Amino acid sequence: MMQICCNDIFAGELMTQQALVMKEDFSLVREYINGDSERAAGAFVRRYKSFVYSTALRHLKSRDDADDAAQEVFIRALKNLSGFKGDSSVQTWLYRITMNVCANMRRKKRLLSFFSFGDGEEGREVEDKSTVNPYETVENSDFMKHFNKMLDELPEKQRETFVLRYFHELSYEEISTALGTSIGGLKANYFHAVKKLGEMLKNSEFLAGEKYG
Amino acid sequence: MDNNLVIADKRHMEEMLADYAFGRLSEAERTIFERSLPNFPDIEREAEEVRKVFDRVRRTDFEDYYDRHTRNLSVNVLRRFENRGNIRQTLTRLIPALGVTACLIMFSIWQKPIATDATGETRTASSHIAAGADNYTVETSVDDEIAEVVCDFAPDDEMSASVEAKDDAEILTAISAPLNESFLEEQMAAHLSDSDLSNLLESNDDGFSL
Repeated sequence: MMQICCNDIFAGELMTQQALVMKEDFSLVREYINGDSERAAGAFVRRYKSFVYSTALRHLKSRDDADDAAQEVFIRALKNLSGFKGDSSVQTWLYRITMNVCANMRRKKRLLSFFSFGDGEEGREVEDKSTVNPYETVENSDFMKHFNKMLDELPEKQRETFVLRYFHELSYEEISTALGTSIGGLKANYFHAVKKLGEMLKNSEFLAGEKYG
Repeated sequence: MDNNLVIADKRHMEEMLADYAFGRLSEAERTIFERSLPNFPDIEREAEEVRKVFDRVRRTDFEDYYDRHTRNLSVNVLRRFENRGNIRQTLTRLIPALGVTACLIMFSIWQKPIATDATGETRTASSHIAAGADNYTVETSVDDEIAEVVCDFAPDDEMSASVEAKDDAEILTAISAPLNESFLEEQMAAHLSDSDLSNLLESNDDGFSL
């Protein structure tokens, strides 16, 4: 029996899936440039709004800020969409824009709170307490609150890897481009994140009555 | 693909575990992973556990939450995008217009220099003599090339004149013509200082005298 320890043998199959997604993205970009740009812009926003909004919410932890950030991300993206060459996937490109916009918003907020409240610490604390769970599917859902807390306990790289892979189903190549981490490192992060979350879920009140393993 | 391929490294099995448990492996990956599982019984157990534990997360509709909170996002984005385009278009037209206006203002200021002579008398491109009821000013151009003479007397006198002259001599000639000469003499003697009069008379080539 032949033994292997290399992951690259599946590259061809993954490429086919990615190619299909990219083909749809490119047809949208083409339509935006050559055809009905308003319709294409609307379709583009609808296609990626959840991805951009959830990413912004995860980093800003405020629904209003996430909404503002998502709008700004799409305005920037639409402004540069005709120049999009497809060196990376649209999601990776949007993820980077989102990260930049969120960083700018956080910087502006820190600056404003500094001038408004002296050291700004009090303002931030109040805001953090009143923020919304970024992973909450149903408001006031205990499970969502609990799951959010569990995600917050993960190191940032593991959390981002888990969310991008589990919820947004990005390929490891795309996540690697977005986060700037090697594929091997990402797979390890994903495994550790799943393992930790599994342990936390197992011990939570929601699954305490069930037996595993 | 070789049907005998199996994964020998536990670390690689672990890296594929989550994707296997969540059904994210491709057909080829899954086949090789399952073929390799008998060699790693703990991985098999762990994969089953992960699948069961995450079933609660799988049943939670995350997409619905984001959909509800981004319902108006595309409309808002398109509106803001359109507004931003309009603002840019307006600015593209407004900035050159403002530039031209600023240039015109600068040009007109440059064409009308203001200076003050040693006596503190204001001199402008236009010269004015206003022999009115209470006050008047004598202003001559800096270079004395073009001068405007305005005599604006008190309403009771019902006399006024506005002429253009090149120098002080022409000013005196001009104002003496339409107006009563003796009245002018009287007004000027009463209001003009001696130095003003002598300055004016020095350049009076026509021999006009008060």
